[in-house]
Amino acid sequence: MLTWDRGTWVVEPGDPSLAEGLPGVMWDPRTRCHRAPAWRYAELSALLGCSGVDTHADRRPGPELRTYQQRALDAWNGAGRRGVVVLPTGGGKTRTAVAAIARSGLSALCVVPTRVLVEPWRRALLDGGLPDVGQLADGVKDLRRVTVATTAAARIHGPRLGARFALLVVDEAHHHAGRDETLELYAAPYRLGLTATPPEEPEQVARLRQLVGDVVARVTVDELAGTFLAPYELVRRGVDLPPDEAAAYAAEVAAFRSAYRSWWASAVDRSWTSFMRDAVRTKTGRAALADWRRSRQRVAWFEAKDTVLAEVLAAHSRDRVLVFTRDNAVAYAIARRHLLAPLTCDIGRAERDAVLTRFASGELRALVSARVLNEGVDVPAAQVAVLTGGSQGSREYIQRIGRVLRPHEGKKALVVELVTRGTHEVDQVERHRRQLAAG
Amino acid sequence: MLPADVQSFRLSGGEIVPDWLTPADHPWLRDLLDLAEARVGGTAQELDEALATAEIDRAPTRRLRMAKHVLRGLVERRPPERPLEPRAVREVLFAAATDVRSGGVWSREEALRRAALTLGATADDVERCLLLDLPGERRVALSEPLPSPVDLAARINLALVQGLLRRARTVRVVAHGNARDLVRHARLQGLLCVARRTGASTTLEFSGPLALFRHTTLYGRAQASLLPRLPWCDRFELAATCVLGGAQATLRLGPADPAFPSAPPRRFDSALEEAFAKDLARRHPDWGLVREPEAVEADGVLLFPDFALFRRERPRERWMVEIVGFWTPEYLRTKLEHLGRAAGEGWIVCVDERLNCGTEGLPEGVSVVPFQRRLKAAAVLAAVEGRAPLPDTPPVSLGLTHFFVDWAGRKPPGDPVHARLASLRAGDPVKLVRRGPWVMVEAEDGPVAALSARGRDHWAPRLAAVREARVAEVRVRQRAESGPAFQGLLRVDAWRVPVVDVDLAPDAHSVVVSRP
Repeated sequence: MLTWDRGTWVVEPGDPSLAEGLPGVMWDPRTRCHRAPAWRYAELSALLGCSGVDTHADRRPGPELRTYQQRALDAWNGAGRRGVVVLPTGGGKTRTAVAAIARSGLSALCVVPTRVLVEPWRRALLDGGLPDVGQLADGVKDLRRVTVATTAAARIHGPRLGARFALLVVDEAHHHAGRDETLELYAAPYRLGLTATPPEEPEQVARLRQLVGDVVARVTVDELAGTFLAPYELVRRGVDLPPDEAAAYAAEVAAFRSAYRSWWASAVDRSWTSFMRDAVRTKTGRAALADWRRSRQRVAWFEAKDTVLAEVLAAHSRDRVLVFTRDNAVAYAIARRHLLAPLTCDIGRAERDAVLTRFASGELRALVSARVLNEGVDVPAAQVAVLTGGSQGSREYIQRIGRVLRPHEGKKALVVELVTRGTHEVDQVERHRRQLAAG
Repeated sequence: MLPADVQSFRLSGGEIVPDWLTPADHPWLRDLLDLAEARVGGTAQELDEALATAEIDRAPTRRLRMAKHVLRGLVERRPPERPLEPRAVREVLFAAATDVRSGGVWSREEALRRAALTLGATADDVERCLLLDLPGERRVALSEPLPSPVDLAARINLALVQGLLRRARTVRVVAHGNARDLVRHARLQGLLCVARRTGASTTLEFSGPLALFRHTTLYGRAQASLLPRLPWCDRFELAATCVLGGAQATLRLGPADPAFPSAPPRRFDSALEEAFAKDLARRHPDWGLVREPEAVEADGVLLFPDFALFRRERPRERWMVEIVGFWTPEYLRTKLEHLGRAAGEGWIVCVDERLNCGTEGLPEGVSVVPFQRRLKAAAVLAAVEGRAPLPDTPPVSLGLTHFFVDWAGRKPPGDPVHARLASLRAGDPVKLVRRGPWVMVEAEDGPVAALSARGRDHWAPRLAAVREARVAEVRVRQRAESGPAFQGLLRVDAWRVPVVDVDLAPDAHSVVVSRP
């Protein structure tokens, strides 16, 4: 028998001696019982022939899918309804997931990374024919057979609700390939992960496999560009720091590299996280971090980049333009200078929704954002993306480009990258482009 | 609480030594407080920048970082006064800017002019109010005065150890008094608690269900939330096993360590319980209620009920009442089976129907008191009706084998002990008391018996667990019953020896587990 207890199962097989050999089961001396983490449910219920999660199905047709989406869904079904589907931004991951939920008919929890994505997901599910969609986010606790929750809310409520859903749909699944423990709290035997940028490091791949499943379907941007995604052009505009700024940048980078090399020579764990942790504890380390931050700040936004942005805005005054920045401070500086609507975490939901609606209608033609527009937010009308710098890795770079690839008749998307010559931005952009090409 | 990268401590032989702030830090804390106070009325961004860059004389770097972090959380950030609502400004201005830009010739001034016209304001006001509602634009304010350096130091110390407890895998507390409040709090936080009674104290080990499998931060907040409640114990010792960068180390805390206590534990854990107690007192005066009854050991488990109910005319007969939090039908079935085995009918479980986490309703055939919003005393008493009370722990007989049976026989005929023994009656209360190497049985007016070496070995460790001792009977021992070797030591031909019944709390050395 399996009994739910706060994110774990208390395991009581008919013969207690059997418990020891079961996967993930350990003797808990605290409560004198055998216990297993929630996510082991699928294996345990199969071995013990008992159930603790309601897998009753209430099937519906769901939305129509494109051929590649249907292939992805078929692959997921064929893999026992466990796995990760990789589709590029704009490729219809949400639609594919809605079809999976509707056609499986299972109780489902959709886990999304931010509260910005809750309402779009709810609407997509309702539009896809699901009659009742609940929400766990922003203080709202409305539990239904199909519910959308932020990762944070799912984590908080996991110990109580983890046995309530048969299917877990994980949007932007790559976020769960690290140390996040949210998915461990859920028993759902069926899991669908969605991402445009799956992890590549072996540890992260293994982690995602454990909690969601293997990649069962993968479609790249280039496979869809020109058909299901808009064709696009990538233009690099090089800019130069003023001489004094360039000299200061060079000095800061040299100081940082010197300190970093010294640390690296004796470090056991040479990850960036480890460096940050060690650096804050010493005067030299803190100085190195300060140099690194100042050098990044120096190239994030300056007059030459501003000039190029003004040119792009003027040249595309009738197009819908998204401007991506390193951080909120740069976003606000651009908002003030060019009178563009900023979309940041500081902007409330009602205003955010209103801005996106006005952007879609053409009343507003340009938005500026640091991170909010990166994932999941639908801006199908956007044609031009300006990347001013500061993409946190290839994943973010690909996601940002994806924002302008939604297909539209006659649309050819344009991505303008502002790259500061003679700085780290040059190598960064090269890496990102290679990743984009690899899918 | 302080995040990991701000916490200051050192490791010494596997022990965590927190970097406590002491009176020696008060002078620079005063300077830091003055810096913050000087920024009141300025923008939050200015305060943040000042705190980020401030180098305070004599302030140790890592303690300063902790202080800055705590201080940031103590100031309010209020929206500034503004002639125009920023959101309205943005709505009008960005639309105006779009129109101007679409016309082919961009002019920022033209966009501002048009927006100002629409809003009936000046272009300067429009520009000034554009982003005035952002967090960085808020104004620093104080709803109450900043703490003194003494209080600030205490807050920082509390935040430091709470931050360390967030990284704990298990937390062990030896609590003298107020153990129940800790157990209740832990239960509400979703923690497991293993409780062991050791004399007058209770040892509690807190951890989360998933901690069995590996270190996890899931229970960090819950564990840290125990800390402010500890100073309300008469005494406490805390030992937490923390995981720091993959290695384990122990954090130890005691009453002498600086701590910032929370408000004292409430008399009732909830309005629900308070209302129930009032309802019982008002409508059923023949019944009494004990809040926080002592824990009941049953079937290897230490159970912490919410209340004990008793009829005033028969106070030793008790029924325990537990108000269940979140539940599933399966959880209730399991709990009731266990209670039934352990505590018979004497345990009443009350279930809030609104806190069902499962998909089914109350299971069939389970005997609980369901309620919604209010728990009525009449409903609970109706459940009590016909149920046997909690089985009372039978007394233990302190038999003759534990006595030094010749003790009174070796006293001369005129010794007062003989008169005391002669006046002893069954039912008279006595005490077991340690006197030097001896354990004596003492009536109100003096000792009446002594324990043998065997008796001392058995009873000395259990003295604190003795709730009550009474004379069961008084036997008369004759000289001829003692061995030949002792005849020469005896001073009388007959003397009395009491047989004593001892009412004992649960075995001090048994390990018991507090179930959820």
